Amino acid sequence: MKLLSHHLQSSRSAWRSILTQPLEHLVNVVVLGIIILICLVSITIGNNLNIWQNNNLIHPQIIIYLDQNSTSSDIGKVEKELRKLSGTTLRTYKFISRQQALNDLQQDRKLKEIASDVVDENNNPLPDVFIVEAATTNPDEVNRLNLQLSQLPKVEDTHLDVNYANKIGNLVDFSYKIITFVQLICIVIVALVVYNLIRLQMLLKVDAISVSRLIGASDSFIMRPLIHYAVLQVTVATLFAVGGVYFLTGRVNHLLFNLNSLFGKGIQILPLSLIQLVTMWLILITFTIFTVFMAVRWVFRNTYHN
Amino acid sequence: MVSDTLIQFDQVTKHYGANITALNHLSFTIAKGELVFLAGHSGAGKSTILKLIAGIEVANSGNVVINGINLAKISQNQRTFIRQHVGIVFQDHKILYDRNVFDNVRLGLDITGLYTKQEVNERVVHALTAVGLEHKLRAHPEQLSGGEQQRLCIARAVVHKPKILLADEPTANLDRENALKILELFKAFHKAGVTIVISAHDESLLSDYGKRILYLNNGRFRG
Repeated sequence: MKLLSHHLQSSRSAWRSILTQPLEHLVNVVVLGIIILICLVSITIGNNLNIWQNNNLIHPQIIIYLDQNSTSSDIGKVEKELRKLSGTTLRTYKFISRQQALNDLQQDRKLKEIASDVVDENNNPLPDVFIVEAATTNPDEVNRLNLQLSQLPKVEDTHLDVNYANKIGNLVDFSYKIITFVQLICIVIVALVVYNLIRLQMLLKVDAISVSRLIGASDSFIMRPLIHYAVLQVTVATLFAVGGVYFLTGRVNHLLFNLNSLFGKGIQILPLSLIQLVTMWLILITFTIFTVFMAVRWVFRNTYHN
Repeated sequence: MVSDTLIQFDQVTKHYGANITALNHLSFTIAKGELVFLAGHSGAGKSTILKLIAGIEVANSGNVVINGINLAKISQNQRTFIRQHVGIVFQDHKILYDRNVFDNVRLGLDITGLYTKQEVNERVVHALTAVGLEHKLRAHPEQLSGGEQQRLCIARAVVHKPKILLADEPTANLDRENALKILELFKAFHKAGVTIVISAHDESLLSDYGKRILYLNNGRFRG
């Protein structure tokens, strides 16, 4: 009860401090907000990268060319093998029959002109094809899958763009590393800004703190209002950043909406979920409290000696 | 055996740096409810004794025992906690100019965190009434005279009803009339049962009170 009363009093004091000098504190909130915004944007990109990856937007494809003489029974056998691999190393597969490929070719005006001399209903050189999407972007795993598929019966050849797969894999890995790095940097910067904020607050209130300690104030009595002050600022900055990231997501989705009509795919940026936002806020608050603790210890050690 | 001793110094020595010896093997006791004056010239060691009692400083050797607790054997946090039960009147007032008279006095209560809002209001008003500042509740410290500022400092020191009241040169910057008024205030608190230790360099003010005076000279008792 006593502790709750202390915290309520400290919270009131923090609000009073911010409301009496809103402009001074607005600068802090904006600085913190921008850093947290960058952090949230990086998390949003990471999330969507994951979603795009799962939605096959950046999965490597392997094309399986069947033997010209393959029968529907052979096709069924290959499909049976592919079905076994589905959900493990293989994400999806699609069968395109030689007849369908021919029809598509004939409907394509440019290709039709090029192939008209050698391709017709009675002379179809096109093979039956399975287009397989790997479940992973890991180049080694994709290569293994490619080898496995090439050894299936009645498979004439498989085609994998190894460079493409490698590039995609490397790009995704690199993106995750960058995103993790940006998040860590942002948290460190937030901690440094809060550290400096608290240090300055303590130096501004040097008389009050000094007198309080002389008449018996404990470290926690001094620290409590500073924790509330910092937590309040970080919370307001987080709200500011959340607003910012939702605004940016909306703008980007508006642009993507126009592109979707060109690519025919429903690509959009998904915003962060409430759980992610609350988790992020809790992480920031934990770091903030720890930082206040460190800052107070530093100032006590270097400024006060009683 | 129940002892009446509240404050005990046993062979206490305190150095500041390598060359300054503020107290040199000093021993004395102060009983519960006693009013004791510390007299002596500037640098005699008066303030150091008060700081050692308050736990603001720690002795280099010897024992400072307050109400049976040896301050050398407890942690910094515990010494801070003990200060919550001691009233201190500082030589330089240590008034906070960023808040009014009421808020200056309530600081002593806020630190303990033991009182409700109503209790805080009652105690602050009572303390300010005791020192004659009840009409300046909302005034700012810079609007007070030197004597009033000293009384404000006393109100803050007594607002939580401490068992021990320490006053470091409370009359130093006051004229004789105001100085006597301040000493009368301490006398009133003493009558209420508070143990009081007051340091003063103007010995002429102290002799009329018929209380024990400890004369200090270079960290030792004189004569």
